[in-house]
Amino acid sequence: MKHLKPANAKAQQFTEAAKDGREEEVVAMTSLVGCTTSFDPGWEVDAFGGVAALCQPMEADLYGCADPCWWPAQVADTLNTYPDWNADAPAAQTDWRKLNQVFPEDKG
Amino acid sequence: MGMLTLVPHNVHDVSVDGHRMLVHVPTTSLFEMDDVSASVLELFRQQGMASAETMRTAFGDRFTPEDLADCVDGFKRLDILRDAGAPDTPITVTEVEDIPLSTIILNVNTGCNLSCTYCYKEDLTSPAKGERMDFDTAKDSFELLLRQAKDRDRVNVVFFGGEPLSNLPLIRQVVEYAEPRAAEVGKTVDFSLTTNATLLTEATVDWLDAHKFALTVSMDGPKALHDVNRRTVGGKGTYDLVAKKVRMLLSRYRSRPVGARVTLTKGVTDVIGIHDHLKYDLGFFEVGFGPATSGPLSTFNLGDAELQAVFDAMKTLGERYVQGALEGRNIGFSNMHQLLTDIAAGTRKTVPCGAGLGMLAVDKGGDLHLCHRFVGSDQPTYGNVRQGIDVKSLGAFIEEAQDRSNYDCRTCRIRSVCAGGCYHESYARSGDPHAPVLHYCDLMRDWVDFGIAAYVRIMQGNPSFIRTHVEPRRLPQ
Repeated sequence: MKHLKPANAKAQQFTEAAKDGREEEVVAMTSLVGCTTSFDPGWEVDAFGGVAALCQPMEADLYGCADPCWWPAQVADTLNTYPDWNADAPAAQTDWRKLNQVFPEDKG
Repeated sequence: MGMLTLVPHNVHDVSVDGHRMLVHVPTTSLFEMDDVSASVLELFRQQGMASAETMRTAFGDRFTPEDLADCVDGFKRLDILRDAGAPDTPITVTEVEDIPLSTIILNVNTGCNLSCTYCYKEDLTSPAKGERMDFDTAKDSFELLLRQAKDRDRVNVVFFGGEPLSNLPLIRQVVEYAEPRAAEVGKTVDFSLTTNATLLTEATVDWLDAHKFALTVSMDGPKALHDVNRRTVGGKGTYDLVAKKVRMLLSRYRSRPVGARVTLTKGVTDVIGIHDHLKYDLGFFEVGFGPATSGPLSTFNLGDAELQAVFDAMKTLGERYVQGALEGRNIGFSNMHQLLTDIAAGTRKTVPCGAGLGMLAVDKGGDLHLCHRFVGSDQPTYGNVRQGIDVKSLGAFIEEAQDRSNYDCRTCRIRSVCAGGCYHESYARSGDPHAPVLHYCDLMRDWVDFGIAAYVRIMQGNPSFIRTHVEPRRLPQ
């Protein structure tokens, strides 16, 4: 192995072992514990696209869902049709009882 | 010597400042090639196969026959060259008959006082609704750990949540029980936890310090970035409170270095700015980054372009790490440090991490999960702390994880370092915990090459850095 100079610990072990024909032992060495090299993600949904773990309790995140209209939440559309829907409930988590359902107006 | 063929997926070469480095992929051995070995490899790269005759023709009298024979012998021992027509080495799957745990993760409370918008915990809920583990379950978990770790000197207990400090009474009970109990059977127990820092008080910090907890604080950087996602249940940014608590923590914590853990999401990608703030303004020992990538909803995930930008920034920070290392300083960049640890040792993994083998997570009811991330998911559990581990089904999972030849891992040059990547990330991305994390395989290969170059440059310029900063970090196994 004189044309390959070991440059890390494993290469050193391999070179030593190769002198006695034991290189298979080094090939078999594995590390089974430790961390993944992949990066931990933060946000995930489950395999089926579910987001049940999010925004609980729902009240806490209700305005986050409703105000910018980016979440398909079953709440009144405060951007266009019912701008005052939540006027009496500045904090959803404490005032949620004041949030009422809305109904489409009769078109006559 | 008959006709020899190159086994391309067993060799990878990287040139670093004129040093021609060879990575032996099956073992993560790193060698420096000389003229002979570099030329022979180059010849086989061009021709795929060659005989002694071909080599004589190609090299003339540049190298002696003895040198060539010795070089070929070395390559054959490494299974980089093989007799033409010889079959490929089969993947050996180690049968799992025992689960030699070193670590148990206790999910002490599913509740958290924050509602960080990207949180991956599948069972996360608010503090009021949080399901707390009771002491009997925690005690049984520790006893299970001691039984499974019979050949180990050290065991680890990790407290996870929700926010683990929202169930501090249980943590105290576990520590009071575990320390004398471990000593009784001749083992040392280490504790660790990851916290959002909001519930820390001086008294709590001093108690954690007295029991030498390894602490990690989840924090995303300066105020403007931290407050994008890390908010209270009511939606308010938490930076001011967290920064205040962190300053208090770092001013009095003596037993171990404290690290910060950053989640990079859409719009939160300023790796350098975040590192500098957490390291130099707040004083964390080191900072680690986790890009969020694996949900199909794009709201928080980094897109391809952003992920590329993040890796580029990580390399820029990596350059600073190398510069610091050459001057004998450690700038505290966890991802880089972990990578160098693997490269210096030549870590070869057949499974990506210790989940299910060295480590299991326990939920409130005592059921066993691969790791804390799977608690609350639809994936199967693997026994219970009272009845013991279901070795058969867990063994089957680990055995399947060792052979990813159905995927593209078989010929990947970083397969021994990556081993397919995080089970949970793959599960979240594709529903299959054994699928590789294909969406950033290319970036990972590039990152590992970057690590090899960094390692070689540090070894050339200041090898003592590796001895004093990188090698001691390895945990006894």
